[in-house]
Amino acid sequence: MIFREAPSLVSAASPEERSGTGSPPPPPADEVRLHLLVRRIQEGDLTAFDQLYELTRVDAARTLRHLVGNRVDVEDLLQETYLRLLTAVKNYRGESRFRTFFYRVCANVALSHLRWKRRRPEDPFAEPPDQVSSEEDPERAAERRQAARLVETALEKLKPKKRIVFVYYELCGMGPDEIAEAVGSSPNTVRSRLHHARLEFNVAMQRLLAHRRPGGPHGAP
Amino acid sequence: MAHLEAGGLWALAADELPGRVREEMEAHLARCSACSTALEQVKAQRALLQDARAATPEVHWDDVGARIRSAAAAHLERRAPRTRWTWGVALAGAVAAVLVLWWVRLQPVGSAGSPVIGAETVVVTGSVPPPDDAVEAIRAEDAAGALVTARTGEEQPLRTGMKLRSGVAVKTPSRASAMLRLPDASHVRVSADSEVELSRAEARDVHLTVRQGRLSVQASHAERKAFLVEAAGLRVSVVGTVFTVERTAHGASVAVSEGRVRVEVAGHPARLVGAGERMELHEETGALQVEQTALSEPDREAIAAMEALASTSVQTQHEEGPEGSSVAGAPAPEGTPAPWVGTTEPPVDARPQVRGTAEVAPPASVAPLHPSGLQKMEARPLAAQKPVARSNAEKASPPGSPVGTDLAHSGNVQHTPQVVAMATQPVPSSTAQAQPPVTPVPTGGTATTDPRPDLSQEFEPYPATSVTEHLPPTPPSEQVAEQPQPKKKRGPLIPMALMSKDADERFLGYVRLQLGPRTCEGFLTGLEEIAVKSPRADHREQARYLKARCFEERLQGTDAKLEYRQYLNDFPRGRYVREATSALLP
Repeated sequence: MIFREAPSLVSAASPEERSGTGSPPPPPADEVRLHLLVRRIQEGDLTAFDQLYELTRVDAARTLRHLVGNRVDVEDLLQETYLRLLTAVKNYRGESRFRTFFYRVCANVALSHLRWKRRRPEDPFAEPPDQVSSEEDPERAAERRQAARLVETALEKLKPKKRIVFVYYELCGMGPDEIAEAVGSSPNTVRSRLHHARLEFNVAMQRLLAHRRPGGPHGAP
Repeated sequence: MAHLEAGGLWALAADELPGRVREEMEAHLARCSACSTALEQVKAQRALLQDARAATPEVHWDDVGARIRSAAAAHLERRAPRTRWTWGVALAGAVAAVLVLWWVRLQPVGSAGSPVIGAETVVVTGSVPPPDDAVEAIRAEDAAGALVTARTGEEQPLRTGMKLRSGVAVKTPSRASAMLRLPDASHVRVSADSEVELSRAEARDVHLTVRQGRLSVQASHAERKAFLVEAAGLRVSVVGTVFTVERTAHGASVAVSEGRVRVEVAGHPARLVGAGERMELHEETGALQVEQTALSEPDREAIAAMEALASTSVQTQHEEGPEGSSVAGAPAPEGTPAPWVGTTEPPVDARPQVRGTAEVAPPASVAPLHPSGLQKMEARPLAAQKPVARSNAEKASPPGSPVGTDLAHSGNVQHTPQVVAMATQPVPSSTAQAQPPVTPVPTGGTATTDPRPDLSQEFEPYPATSVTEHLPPTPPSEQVAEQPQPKKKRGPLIPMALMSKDADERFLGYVRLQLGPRTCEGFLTGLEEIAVKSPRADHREQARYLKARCFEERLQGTDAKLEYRQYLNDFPRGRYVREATSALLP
């Protein structure tokens, strides 16, 4: 039996179910609050923007890190994201979830950055900055860091558009329809990209894991 | 049976498959160990993803937050509709200002009834020579809480004694004020909650723009090209006077404390407003009201405050050198009721005033006074003012008394500021008003002041010796000019050919640069190639010629001659024909 195409992804797999500890989607109450904040920002209220920033910044940083990898200065991208958000927010009429709108902005920032990066490859010797999470069991934290590093190395093999879809689906817990809205393409395109991204990620990951084994890709000596 | 594809395994691991497909796959997995292993791998990867998801990047939230907040504030500021409105007003003001300037230049004498674009022009005559030590920079004499905004938008607090350059803006928050001494020894005071741009401040050309709030001016009587204050379409030009112009809720007003001003308003004949008078323009109706007897309370306060401050500044200047005493103009805080310093008017009316803007236009442009307007203004009964002027005059120090003492006196005694004002301001406005026919009407384009002492005056109008001195003839404006001298244009360090996109051209450029007996050999092949194959004739020509030169450098005479011949054959009218022929000569 061959699955040429990923069998129809059950989009009903709700993001809430898939999202782990990482980015819990804001419950409706939050959504209402975010909408209110957006209204106030549209009227030029700076404090509302402050609140919005406080509410979303961690999510934004995490998403951007996944989208562009950890050799890039996430802080610059964060700034760009929020500035773009300010520009874009006046056209946001609350028809979609704020989260979708927000991820759309993130995706645009990441996409332009990834395209730019392809033209100007990073310094390969640049050491990715260590991620320190203070109040965690050091062993667990080390594991997590290791995992994050592996995942990001594998993600670097993906083309920008596939990467964005993959990250949004697997790491941010969004459904294909929501992703389609966020990246501005059809849900079927998203499914197709996700499928290919998974295959590529799978291959990249297997290579990485093989390299990590003592004997290299050909097994133990 | 073929093995399961990774995509399917991912979907299975993610629990995304419909029941039937899922059962089929599970059945396969039960039989196929390879696929089971693959599924395990997928699951491991998904576990890794789970772990990675929780990893939060290290971000310096404080830095980022500050950066984002400031950027957002700037962004929102830019987007605010209020800003757009301001820009609209600024644009309208600029247009109006240009039109006024154009009109004034076009018609040397404002004819009655001819329209002037909503502007008021103030001309005051008088002659106080500028002090010789006029500094080329604007100096802050008193700056309580004011801010300086550079062109780049940077703000920094204004400190007393700070030198400012043209192009900066001075901004005062509420309860703050700034006193500035301009290069031409004029004094201006920026009232609280105001913003004034010092567009140009040179000894002979002053141009201030009031963006907001009120500006009081005590202009020196120095000769200069222009002294222009601009605000929202209002332009005032001046030659030595004390006045304050403000923009009220319903229009604009000019209040004159000393000297006489000429006011031009659209649809009205030019008029003169004398000392102690106040003129109001109602924008909606276009009606012009001239109230001769009333300076409003804020007007008086502003002017009095400026005078008081100016006197102290003059004192200090006097200590520094005798020249500094000639001009004294200092604003005082608006909030404190200061003694009325103006010459003629007793404080009468206390009309509430809104923010105002003062404009002083260049004297040259406004110089031609309208005689009719002049007479109109002067003919007005000023009986109420006369006695006051008298009393002032009586209080005034004896003619010829040194200014320094007067000023010192004024600094100590609050009740005699009039004396100081009179002493420091050489043109007694009360006199001017009381005796209309004597008013000096400058002719031509220069609104120079009339230094003739009025004989009817009971006191010496020009006690300060420095009054008769003039600015040095050479304008020091170049030193204050905002724009640096344009740099001398230099040729590029690298020949442009080397920067060319065309490889042939770059190559030829290198050859031209490095043509020498040792380097030449390496170029020969390339030159030959270009000379034969290049699609561009000029490249072929140059390559041929350079090749010949190459041979010449290497002392291969025959080869060189062959090349030159070839060159002449190929390009009988080429650029290097002369060189080729001369080289071929025996």
